[in-house]
Amino acid sequence: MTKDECRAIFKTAWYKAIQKDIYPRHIMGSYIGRAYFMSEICMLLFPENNIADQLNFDAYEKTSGTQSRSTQNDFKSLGILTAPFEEQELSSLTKGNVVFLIIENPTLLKKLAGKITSYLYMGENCLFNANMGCIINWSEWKENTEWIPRLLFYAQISCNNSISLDGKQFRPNGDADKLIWEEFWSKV
Amino acid sequence: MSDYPNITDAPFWSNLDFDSEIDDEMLLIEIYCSVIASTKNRFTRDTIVGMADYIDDEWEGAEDYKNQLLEPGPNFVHPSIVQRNKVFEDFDSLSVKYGEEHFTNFIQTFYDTYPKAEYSTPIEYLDSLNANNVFHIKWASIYDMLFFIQEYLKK
Repeated sequence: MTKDECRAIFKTAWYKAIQKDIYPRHIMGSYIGRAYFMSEICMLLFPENNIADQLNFDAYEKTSGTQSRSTQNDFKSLGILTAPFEEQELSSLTKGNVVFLIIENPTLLKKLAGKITSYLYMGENCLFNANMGCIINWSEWKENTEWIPRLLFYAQISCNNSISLDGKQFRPNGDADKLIWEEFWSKV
Repeated sequence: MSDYPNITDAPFWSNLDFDSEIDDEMLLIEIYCSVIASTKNRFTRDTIVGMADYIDDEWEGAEDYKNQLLEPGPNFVHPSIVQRNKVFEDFDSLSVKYGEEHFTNFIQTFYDTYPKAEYSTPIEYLDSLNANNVFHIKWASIYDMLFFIQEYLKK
């Protein structure tokens, strides 16, 4: 895969993900950009025999993807591994992992609904917001004394599962898919 | 740097050589990123909570904090002005990058074709969807994007 091919895939998925949030079905719902982006990446890298084209983003948008317990259950059903952060560091992550963090100001912001936010890890301590519109650098942002952010858990695709639906497979799955998946993210 | 005010400064942008991509899809992406990074979703250690609605009633410092917001002093610049100025600065740069006429036509078309139901403008339509003015983060992002485009076109 060349850098140009990788960029073309990234751009297509990014554009479609942003459109999903600019023209939402549930404008009072949660951002689905990051989740849609990942499903598009999966479909563009593995267009055949892939259940990613059957994911229900309508429900995800309506019910908020930041409910950590239900999200972790969804990930488990899809063969996506989750692990809690032992330290407030991103050193154990690889690009393409999904990170969940919480902001915990003890005096302010108690009325904010969404305190848990998901991010896409982009390497070099960079986290892409769930809306796919801005990036923070965790190594400095974690020192934010007003918002007091704390890493909760992260998720990564296992590439080793037997999940299927209506004859279609969850992908990436298997060594061949894993190679393609890792090659893509290595260029990001 | 705790965050990237311009998406073009993020490492992945140069890793994937996104400067070589200049088309309408990238233009929409760059406009969206400008608005998102400049407004409510961008928090730094210097962020001021500018809306009293989000202050916990039971906090003993709440009244003082609200008064500080109401009477911030002569040198205070409201965060919304800072945000608007940054977005307009970005729009000026995008206008140069993509061509002034093309950029203006693009945002005008985006604004004109955005869903507005039976209302005259998309801003009126978005207002109608949130009559009680409750903060919803996605609604706010879309509102910001269309509002800044509307104001920029008036310039």
